[in-house]
Amino acid sequence: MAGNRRRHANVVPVASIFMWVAICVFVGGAGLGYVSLKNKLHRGADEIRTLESQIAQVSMSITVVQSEIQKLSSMEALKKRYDSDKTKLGGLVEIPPDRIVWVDRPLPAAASDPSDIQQTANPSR
Amino acid sequence: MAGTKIRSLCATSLLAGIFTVFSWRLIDLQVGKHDRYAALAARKNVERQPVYAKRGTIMTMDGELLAQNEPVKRVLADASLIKDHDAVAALVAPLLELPLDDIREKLDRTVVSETTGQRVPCRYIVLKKDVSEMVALQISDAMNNAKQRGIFFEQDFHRIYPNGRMLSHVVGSVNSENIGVAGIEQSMEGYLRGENGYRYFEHDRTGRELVLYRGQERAPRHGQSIRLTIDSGLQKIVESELDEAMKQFKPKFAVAILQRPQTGEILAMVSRPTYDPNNLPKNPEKEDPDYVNPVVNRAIAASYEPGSTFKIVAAGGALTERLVKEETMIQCENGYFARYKLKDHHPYGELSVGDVLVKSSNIGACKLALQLGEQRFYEYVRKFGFGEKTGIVLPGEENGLLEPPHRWTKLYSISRIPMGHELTVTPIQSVTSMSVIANGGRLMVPQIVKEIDDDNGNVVEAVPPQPVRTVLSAAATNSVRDALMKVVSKKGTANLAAVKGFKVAGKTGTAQVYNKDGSVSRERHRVSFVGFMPAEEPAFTGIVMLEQPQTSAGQDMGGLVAAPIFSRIAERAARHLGLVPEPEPLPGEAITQSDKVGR
Repeated sequence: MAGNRRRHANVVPVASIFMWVAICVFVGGAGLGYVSLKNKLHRGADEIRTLESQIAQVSMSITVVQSEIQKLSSMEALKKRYDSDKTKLGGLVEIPPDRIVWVDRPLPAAASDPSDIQQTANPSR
Repeated sequence: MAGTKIRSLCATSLLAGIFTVFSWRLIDLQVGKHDRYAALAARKNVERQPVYAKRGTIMTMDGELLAQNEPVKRVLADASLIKDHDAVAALVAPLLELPLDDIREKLDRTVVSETTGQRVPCRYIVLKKDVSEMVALQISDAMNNAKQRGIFFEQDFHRIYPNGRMLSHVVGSVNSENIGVAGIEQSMEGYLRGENGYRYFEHDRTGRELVLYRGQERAPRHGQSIRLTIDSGLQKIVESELDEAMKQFKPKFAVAILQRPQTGEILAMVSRPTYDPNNLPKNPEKEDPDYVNPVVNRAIAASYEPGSTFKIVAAGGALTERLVKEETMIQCENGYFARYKLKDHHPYGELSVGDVLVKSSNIGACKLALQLGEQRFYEYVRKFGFGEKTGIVLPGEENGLLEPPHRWTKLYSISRIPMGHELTVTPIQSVTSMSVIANGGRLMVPQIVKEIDDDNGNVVEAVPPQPVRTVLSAAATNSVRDALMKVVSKKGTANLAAVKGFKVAGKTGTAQVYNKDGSVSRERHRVSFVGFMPAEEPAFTGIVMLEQPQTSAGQDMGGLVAAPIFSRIAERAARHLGLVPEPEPLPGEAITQSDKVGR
């Protein structure tokens, strides 16, 4: 009986320890996991914000360039460009109306497409 | 024993009491005052950021942009985040090209806090609007380098007009709030103006957005684009010819319009003097009696006595009512109609109805109106669209002045109105009435907007031609057209309006202008020509009108000033539109510039 009592008194409560360790690991792991995921979320959000701002910048620079292209290709800008190039290139002169030949008779019936006739009759367009 | 028990009871009660108080306070803060503190936190950290909608563009029929948006930034400051106001002001002022003191004053501005009731630094200060992207980038870099914070940027759009003065009266302009205040910008405001979106977001104490706590978001609805009926090529032609005329004749103002008679579409509209909507003119500081406001679109707002161009009304009315035929002879009293004290420029005996227009006989026109009678003549004037707005989608249109018959002066009005006196019309009314002759008798609403597009260029709404009423019979319009073709011949008053290879129909007008005291000026005139080409199948109707052109004595007549301008415009327009000219007439029939008759 005495031997049995001694053996009983020295037994380490493995199951209990294991249970508590498991609980601690689980709770700790869950906490760490939560923090880690939260951190990932924040980093992801930061990346999204950076990418969004980059996209916005690129999109805005496209809009700026498009606006600049439209300004530079307007009739007014082209006229100014033409006027300045005329002197720079020395001799680029607009064709005066009296130097443009008019086709004064309708084309023969063979030219059935009316758009062809108009195009031929309107060389200055 | 009993003392120990009492002590422990007291300690327990005290602790329980303390914890109860704390718990109560905690519950009060978390539950009872939840809404208040949540709102306070939101006010501090949550912001509603507007997402600006782009204003729609305005373009010509052929896609030439007339009004567009340039992306710009609005520079804002949150003074609560700026530690050193002087340093930030010194950094930002030169880049924004603003005085240092102005910036400092703005940053030092305080407001009364809603929560504490104390004065706190302002959190939303607009430092400057319409700052270019490049400058915004420079400010951002400078702030980062100086490790300063509190300056932000909002996306915005600035309205620009790439073609400057071209078509400025039609396009109009916007005010500093990007709201249309003139032209199409004003009349189509509802379509052009989009609806701003917004987004709610939370930020940390440094002002950086916390993406995880993004709130509600609504995308902006961008404005729709307006495609006009204007042909940019024709507009350029008309503008260049009218600019030349302004240089040559130095009139007070001038107007030219081209219209497609079948649909009423306006192909070109020019009013001089003009302005650049990118740089709006300021009113003169001192009152100048000779000042002509360049912002006014005189194509729709100039109300003037039309003169002889108005004679088509009496002729057309009498022909439609079958009171006369084209060849009916009218007794023109040898130049003086005593009963009505009415004179012609040349004495004529009998003239056919057509020749009344060709010779521009005042007495002939009066007799045609007399045949119609006051009431019926008045009805025809109204049927042609005079005395009321045409309905063009442009703000500032005038009605013109036309009194009803019961207010007419006995004997006088019925003799003067048929020759285009004692009433006023606008150039747009005049050209639209001539289109009635050109299109076979229908009055059309002058159309300036062709279609409305969404921001991807898809057509949302096409504006169809709008006929108002049938004014004249087909036979009457043919007769008037034949007469108007003769006006533009050697026999007529507008031979200088002729275009080689094309038949032109039209009518000149020379009206006297009034002095400030109400007397009629003998020296100064208002000259005009209204016509269409080609006469049989018109591609366009046009008007050229000059107010008080400066010419040598007796030369300021519609046939000598306005008709040649119309001729030059029509010739270039025919080439632009690809109209095929008829075979050249024989050399003997050719009309030369020296054949000046013109009235």
